[in-house]
Amino acid sequence: MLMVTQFYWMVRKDLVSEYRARQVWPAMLMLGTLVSFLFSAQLDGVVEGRSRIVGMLVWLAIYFAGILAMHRTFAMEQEDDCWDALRLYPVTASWIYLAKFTVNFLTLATLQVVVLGLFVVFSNVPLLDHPLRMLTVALLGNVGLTSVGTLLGGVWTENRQGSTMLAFLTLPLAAPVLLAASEATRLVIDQEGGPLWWRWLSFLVVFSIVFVTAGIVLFELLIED
Amino acid sequence: MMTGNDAIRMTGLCKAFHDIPVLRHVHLRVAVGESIAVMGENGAGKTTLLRCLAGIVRWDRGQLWLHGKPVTRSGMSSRDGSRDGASHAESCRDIGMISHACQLYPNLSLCENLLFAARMTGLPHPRKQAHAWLERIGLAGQAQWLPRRLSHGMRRRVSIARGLIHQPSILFMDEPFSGLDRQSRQWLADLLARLQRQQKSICFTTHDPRNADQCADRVLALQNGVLREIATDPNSAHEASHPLIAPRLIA
Repeated sequence: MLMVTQFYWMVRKDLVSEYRARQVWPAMLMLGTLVSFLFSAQLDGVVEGRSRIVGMLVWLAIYFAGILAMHRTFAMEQEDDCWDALRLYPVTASWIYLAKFTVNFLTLATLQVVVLGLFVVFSNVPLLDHPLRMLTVALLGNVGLTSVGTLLGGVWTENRQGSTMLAFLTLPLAAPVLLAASEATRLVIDQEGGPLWWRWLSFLVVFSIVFVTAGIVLFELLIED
Repeated sequence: MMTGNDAIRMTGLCKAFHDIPVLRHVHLRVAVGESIAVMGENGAGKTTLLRCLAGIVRWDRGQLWLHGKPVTRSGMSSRDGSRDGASHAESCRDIGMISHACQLYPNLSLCENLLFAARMTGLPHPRKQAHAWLERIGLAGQAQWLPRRLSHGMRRRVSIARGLIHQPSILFMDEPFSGLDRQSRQWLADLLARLQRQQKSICFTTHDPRNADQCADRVLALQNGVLREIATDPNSAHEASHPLIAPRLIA
């Protein structure tokens, strides 16, 4: 029971801190908006393969804007050396990972709402014609990206590295999620909900399970000094 | 051998960073209710020693016992040698660590910072405890302030309250006197004396020999990674030549 309470207070603390500081969300949403607008502008005149391009651009916009936030969740612990204090509370590293994962998930979900909305408006593609399918892809893509970003964010913050390195290092690991989510998004736009769509979805489920489990199990080892 | 009266016992602890040895075969014994001061120059390894003792940093070799329980090299969840969440929680509650930094979340008020610590350590009536500590450190009127509105000395008080709110039996303090004015130093010295009377074991680092003399039962010097006791007898010819002793004698 204590672990669940601790989890709640860790998540609440991060959300309250961000609400008051407004350090990450405005920058992230602004970057998301800008990238969505620029990407959508490049789509003018593109007819062939439009759905494929939109699928990839949506997820690239989400990735590049979201990585900012993932770094920040851990960076705020480094201010005034709060990370050491957090590690000394009677809470396991796995719960710290889960709390950070939850905060990042909520942050990325907000970003997804904005980016998807903007792409619908600017690029004029039927992204939301099948809202339930799109929601499933967005949810699984979010879990996949967040699991990788949170894991590496913790490692990089522990090693006092910056967000630039995080973006570079997360990309190879996040590439399969980006690819799978892009393809699944393309199939949603093309209104093809057949076995191929399910295959990409299954891939996202497996990827998410593997990386969330890896985070829970390995986080303690990865953040050791 | 471990005696029943030892709060901390460390034997042959070694720690290196990138093959540069910081701690070399450190032996340390702190009794229940004893206060020790560790002195040493900047970069001598004082903070690393405390971080090893608190289980934040993994050490390379050596053994550590806290209240007779063996502590494994990997700090966090296996501090007490098991991965059982309940016993891990118990061992964490034994330790209070007050770092050189104040470890306060900048966007949470003083009260919220203390509440967070109380809730994370599973204290009953966390709000009551947080307010009681704010009263005790004389900052009840500033409970809703953010840490940045306070002076360093005031922030240090909150930091100490944060580290003590769960009433740990072993307390590690990294340069707790640094940056404090005379009044705050005296407040801290009184607090340490009170904690000692409550049978808390205290291990703190300092650069100031006067603080060491005032608040510690024993003073240890960490030099080139080796920890050794500085004799309390200033007439000892050998100890008088020790670079950390000379300023003590002057003081």
